[in-house]
Amino acid sequence: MTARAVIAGIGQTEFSKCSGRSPLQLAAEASRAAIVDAGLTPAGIDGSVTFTLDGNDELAVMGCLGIPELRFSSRTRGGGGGACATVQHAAAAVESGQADAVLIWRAFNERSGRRFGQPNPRPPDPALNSYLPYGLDTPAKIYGLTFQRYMHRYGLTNADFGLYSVVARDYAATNPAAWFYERPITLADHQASRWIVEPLLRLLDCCQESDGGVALVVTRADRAPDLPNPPVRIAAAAASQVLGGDEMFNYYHPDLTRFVENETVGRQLWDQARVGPDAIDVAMLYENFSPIVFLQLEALGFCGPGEARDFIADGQIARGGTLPVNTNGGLLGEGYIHGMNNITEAVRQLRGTAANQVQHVDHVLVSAGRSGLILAST
Amino acid sequence: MCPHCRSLDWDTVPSTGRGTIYSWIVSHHPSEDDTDDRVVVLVELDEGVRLVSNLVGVPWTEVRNDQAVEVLFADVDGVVLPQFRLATPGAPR
Repeated sequence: MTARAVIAGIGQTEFSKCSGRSPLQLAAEASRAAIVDAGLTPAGIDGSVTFTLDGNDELAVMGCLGIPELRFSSRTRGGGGGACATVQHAAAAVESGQADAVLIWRAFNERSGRRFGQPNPRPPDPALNSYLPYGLDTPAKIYGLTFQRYMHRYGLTNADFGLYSVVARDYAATNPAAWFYERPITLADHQASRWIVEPLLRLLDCCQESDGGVALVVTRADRAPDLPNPPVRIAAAAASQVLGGDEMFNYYHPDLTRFVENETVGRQLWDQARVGPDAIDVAMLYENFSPIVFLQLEALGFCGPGEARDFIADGQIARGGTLPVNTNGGLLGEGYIHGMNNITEAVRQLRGTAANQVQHVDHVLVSAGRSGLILAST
Repeated sequence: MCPHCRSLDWDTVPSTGRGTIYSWIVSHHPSEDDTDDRVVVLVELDEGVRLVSNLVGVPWTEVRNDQAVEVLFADVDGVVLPQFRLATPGAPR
């Protein structure tokens, strides 16, 4: 990818358990903040990207902000796995001339409204007949069935996954925007939290259910002189769907101890950005549940197969480590805005404005599993 | 459609109902009281496909990956579903 698209603006609401306002208002508030942060006005926005799952129609968001016209609108497939694909779509639009400034948003009341962590109250999709009657009615159980094979293959226990959970809460404890702000945990706290899915996941292995909104503005690099904040270069943007895969019930690839979609994303990212894992200063890795951090560290080549446990235990992803991971506290510690808050944290790290700022940050990798980015300073 | 040859001329192949436990979890309702430990298994059938089901007749603390299992059909909440139990030792594989 030619580096002509940049992330120029970021915005967000507070991340809470009860926003007290509509998802549309959250989308509008986050978007307004991102547009201001980019030094633009709503009249300058001519493209939009959000999730297929997002409940806010483009025309409704335009109506809130007073965006006169969109000439490019797209939505990403899947759920949080497509978080980074929003930026891929926006960059593709900007670099092909289909849009000059693309607004990306994701907003929901995922705790006070329909809770992702609970069984869906809607009439079940017949396609779920292979799963729901057997008890696979929550993401923790659905993903747990994959993670258990990884746990078995490498002889891990739930306490090993807790190593990541402690790191995430440590970063969150010093991030005022995080749900776990000023609330660090110990491994003993993790082991005392209640089981969600034996023998894999305790409460503290699970992401938050959050209310909130996040927005980004992607625009042309040649606008950089006019931008109020340092633009962030989109050095690589990739997504991956692999034959035989499934969005959540991803049980049919030959070896479930590998995250093959994420491996494909990684190869694309390294090829596009012409850098390797050693060049990454901070990594933001989507975590619905703590084991998926292990799978991504290995799929992206930050460590070898089965080595994530020791990589984390050695302190590599913690403060001062060689690869700080999820420095905002991640989706476990900060909040769960479907992975989008990990992109805004990557931008802050490159701007030098993160709550837990890492020194000398030139490249940040953001992985949402099935999509990913390498963002770089300009 | 067959993803290898794009044919719509498909057929069925009977399964022996035998396989091994590829992975497993214990399922509880996330917010309602339930007391039974329901074991969800991802069974790798001998025919080479995987199937989500339940393992019955054994406490979850005795479940192990790669254990041999065999199918039975049982009433679950008013619906007949395939369920699995540990395979009878010495049974033909």
